[in-house]
Amino acid sequence: MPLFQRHGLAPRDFSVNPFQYKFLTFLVVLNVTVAICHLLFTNKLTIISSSIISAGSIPIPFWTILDDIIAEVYGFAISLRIYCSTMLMLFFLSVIIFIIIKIPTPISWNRINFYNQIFKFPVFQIGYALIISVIAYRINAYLLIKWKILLKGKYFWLRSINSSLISDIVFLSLILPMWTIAGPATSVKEAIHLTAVSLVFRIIFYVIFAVPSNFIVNILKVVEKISACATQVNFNPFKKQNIEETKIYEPHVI
Amino acid sequence: MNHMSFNSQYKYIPFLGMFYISLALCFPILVNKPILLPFGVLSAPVLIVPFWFITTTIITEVYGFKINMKLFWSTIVCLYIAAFIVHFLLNLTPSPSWKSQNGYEYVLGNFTNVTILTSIALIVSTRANSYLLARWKVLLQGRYFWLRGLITTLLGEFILTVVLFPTHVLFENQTFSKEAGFLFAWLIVLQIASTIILVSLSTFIIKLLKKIDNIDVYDKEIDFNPLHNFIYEK
Repeated sequence: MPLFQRHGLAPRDFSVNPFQYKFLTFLVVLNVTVAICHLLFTNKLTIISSSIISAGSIPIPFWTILDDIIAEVYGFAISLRIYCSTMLMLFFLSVIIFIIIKIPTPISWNRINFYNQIFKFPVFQIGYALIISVIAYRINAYLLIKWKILLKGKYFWLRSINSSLISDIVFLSLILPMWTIAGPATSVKEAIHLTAVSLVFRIIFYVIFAVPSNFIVNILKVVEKISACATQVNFNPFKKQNIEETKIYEPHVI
Repeated sequence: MNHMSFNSQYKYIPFLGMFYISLALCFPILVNKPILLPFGVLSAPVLIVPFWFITTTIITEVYGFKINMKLFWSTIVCLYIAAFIVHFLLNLTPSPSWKSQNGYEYVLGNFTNVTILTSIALIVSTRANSYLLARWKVLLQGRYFWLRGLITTLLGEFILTVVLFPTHVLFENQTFSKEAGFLFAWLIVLQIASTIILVSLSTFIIKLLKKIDNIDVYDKEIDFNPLHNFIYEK
């Protein structure tokens, strides 16, 4: 029985308000907020428990968990659309900031270097990071949804931890060369150290936040009165999603 | 098994929500960046203001006051979440080999203060803009968008400029002077010119969105209580 029915709620009446989920808008805005914070602090190196870590990697687990929550509650197709829009918006924001930084400033103002230090994103770096983050996202979403079908919607916390970790291992392995070449690491040794510390940090984070995120998912399923579960999802990243063909249903067991 | 359509959300609402927060975050991020214009020096966010209000105008005209407010309040809440994250990450101990902490502190050091000021200015101005546009849409039966959009957008921009004027003009211990009044006048002229262009362009975007999402909302009963739109739906 769906979770909201266990709470004595009737299935959502889409004839009353057929076009709006209650909390999807907020989750979408929060998703892009966390992504922008990650972008802002990518070039900052910080020390946590005597280990050097990029401050920009701290918000990433939040971002991953948010993506998991959206995929779990609202389905893969919506999650994919939001992810692509977030990437597009990050690119758009980078362009805006790049243009504004290039606008002439008064001669007496000599702090343009401060902005250049923060927004130092070479085209190659952005392009490469975009490609590998899309790969990592696809792996995460694929595993989360596949396991959801196999486990009939149960054990979100376990699926989320595993899928996020596997995608993070892939992401960090692929980003290692870029951290060495383009920064923030200054040597291969430092880049490996950064990667290892980031991974350990993410493992700890995912384990700690597994229960709260599971709780949020359950609340959203009850409040929104849905639990999207795709049975036919095309995971080919180069093929356009035919959304109307994606079947979404409320599974009997959550 | 309860099958339902995927389209339980307007197609472009998530994207517009992201656009909102991206523009809103430009205010605290770029507040310390001066730009040299032919008539003087201003803060970079003055360039963002017209785009913010034209977005508000488009969303209100197409999707209605209620959806616009839902997006807007989500943006304000996330603005504060961003301020918290930035404050936390900024104050983490920097690595000894990394020398850019001063730069971060200069650019993002005032993030929380600017967020508070910006959110107050946005709440007042965006609400006035959106409310008047929705009201006049009902009164004029959806006609004369160009006129409605222009007047309400300019009104919103004017309110925001008045509230945020100290951050726009007064850089690094500068004080109010005759020059500040001169800059304010030029800023208003600049905003009028940009708004005329943007409202003209937005007419096409509005027509397109109405066609794609098959919607044209008339808010016949607007609840002016700011909490109602966020906490529950009628």
